[in-house]
Amino acid sequence: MGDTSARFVSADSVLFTHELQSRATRPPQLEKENRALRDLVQALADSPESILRALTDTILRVLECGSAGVSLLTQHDGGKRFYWPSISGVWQQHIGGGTPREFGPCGTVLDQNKTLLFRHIENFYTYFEPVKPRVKEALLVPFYSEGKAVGTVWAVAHEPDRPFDAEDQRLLESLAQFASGAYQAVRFLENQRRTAAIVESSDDAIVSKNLDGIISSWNQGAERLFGYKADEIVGSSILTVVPPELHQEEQRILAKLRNGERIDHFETVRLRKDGSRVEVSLTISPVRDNTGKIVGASKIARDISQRKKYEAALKETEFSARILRTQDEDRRRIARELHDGVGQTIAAIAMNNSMIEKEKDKLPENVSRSVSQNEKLIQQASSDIRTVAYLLHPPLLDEIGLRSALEWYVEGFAERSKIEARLVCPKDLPRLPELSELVIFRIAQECLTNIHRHANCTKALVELASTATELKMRIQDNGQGISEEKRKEIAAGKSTGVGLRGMRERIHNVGGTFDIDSNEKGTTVFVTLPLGVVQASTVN
Amino acid sequence: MNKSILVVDDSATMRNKLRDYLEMGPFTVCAEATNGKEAIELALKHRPDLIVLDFSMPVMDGLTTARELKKLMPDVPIILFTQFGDFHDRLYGAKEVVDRVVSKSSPNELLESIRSLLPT
Repeated sequence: MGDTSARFVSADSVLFTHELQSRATRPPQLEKENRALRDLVQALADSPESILRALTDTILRVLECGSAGVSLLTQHDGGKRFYWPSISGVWQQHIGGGTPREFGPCGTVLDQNKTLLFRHIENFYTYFEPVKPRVKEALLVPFYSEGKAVGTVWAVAHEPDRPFDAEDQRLLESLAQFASGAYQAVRFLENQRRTAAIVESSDDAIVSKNLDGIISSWNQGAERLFGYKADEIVGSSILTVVPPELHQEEQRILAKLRNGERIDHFETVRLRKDGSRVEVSLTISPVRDNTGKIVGASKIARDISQRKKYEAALKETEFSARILRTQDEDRRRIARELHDGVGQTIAAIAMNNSMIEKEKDKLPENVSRSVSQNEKLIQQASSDIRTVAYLLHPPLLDEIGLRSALEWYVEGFAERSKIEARLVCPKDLPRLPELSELVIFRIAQECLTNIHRHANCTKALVELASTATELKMRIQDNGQGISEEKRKEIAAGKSTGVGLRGMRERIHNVGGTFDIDSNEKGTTVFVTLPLGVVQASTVN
Repeated sequence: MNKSILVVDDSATMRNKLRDYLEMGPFTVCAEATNGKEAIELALKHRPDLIVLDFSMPVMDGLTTARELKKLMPDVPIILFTQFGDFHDRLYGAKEVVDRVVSKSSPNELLESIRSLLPT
């Protein structure tokens, strides 16, 4: 004995279970056992969290051994290891440690499905070698929960003067039965606690009520959503949070629940403590007792006000995008009519006049003069109509692209405004989808118009650059900048006039971005537009 | 015999006016086409001495038509007669494709151009 250098080849070499029956045994200590079990039941009722500790303390006391513990199979990895949730006695510091399922005394006990007595386990399970004090004898009993092996309870004698006997076996097996019940109770409590934690921490309001609509539980989510604390409202009617005109709806909900029906994602309105209303989506399920009888309902209420707001905002954006589109289409149509209709007529008149002019020698002098004047008037009318038409919708944009249209526009702008306006644009700027070109053109047009009206500047620059994925436009002036007050409004996203909002919406509709940078030295607008993206709002 | 001209314009008013105007030239309008595709067919059929071509037309625009025509009959001069005339320097490639670009509001310039392109 004590020769640890000897190595054995099988677990049998450290097993001495058969000796239990042949050893002299103590008389049954039934009273001690009964008292211990009563105390354990009381401990389970008082403090279920520490029941395993109470169990190992009891084993230590009743068996009068050196260490006592509980080993449980790990849950997270499908039971690859045993861990020690509780140890009493001299090995107490090893709480949290454990052994492998496939190679260890606990695994052997579960495999053989009976109580086993080991002696000097380190001789076979060598990883016990450094564990001090060493095991003289270890008595292990398997225990089960719902028919499945879940672990062992064990007692260890570290000294040679305490050999385990048949009475120890009987006592430990009796305590293992208790361990099985305690384990189930602990698991149940853990689950309940986990569920309660989930309910409590949920962002959704989770409420339970009986079939008369009396609230029986109220989580923090409900406190946040409705403004009532749990202790203010538990015991009150659920109608407290139902607007008066919807009380009938609650009656219908209760009737459905009594029939065992579940209500899914029902969108309605509820009342907060402060009297305000909140849009919610309700999911309500009947709750049954263990006989299957419906006794109440659990209700999950989700705040959907933000979603509704977002939906409304989206609708508004879609609506303004539609207005912008209609406006663009109208402008294009009017421009086209002016150009093709009136423009062609004027061109025809110009030819008529030219024909008459060739015969003007045959006319009286004042008539001949009128014919000559006509030529200038026709040129003027033609030019005016073209300017109006082109401002409404630049024809060059459709025909030969953004760069030409912007060149024409910036030149015209410089002439009309007397602002030294310049366009910088790569010669190989690619053609973009029709809508994108129009958006960029309109933003440049709107910005230059704003510069003319507000910037009080001498110079303006429109610069375009493109990469494989993006078109960038920068519109810059050297004016007085946007006033502090106006800048705050812009930063706060407040309405800052139709122009700016229109520009933002236009660029957002094609997936781009719009930013303004302004100080007393001038204002710069940055626009980016993704290229090669299928634009959902591209119509026509 | 007068030189023959093919007139291409989607506007009937314009085509009629051009016919009157060019015949005063004096030139002969051998045919009128309403779009680029028709222009190519009629040009092949009538072999005009010159083509007056609108820019903005359905089916095939003026520049595309001009490119096709130049491939088929490189020696026949083409005048782009267009309301975009003011911007002709911006009509990319126009000058390389056609012989002249004339604004529709300057019909005198049209006659002058034709005369210079079709010396008698």
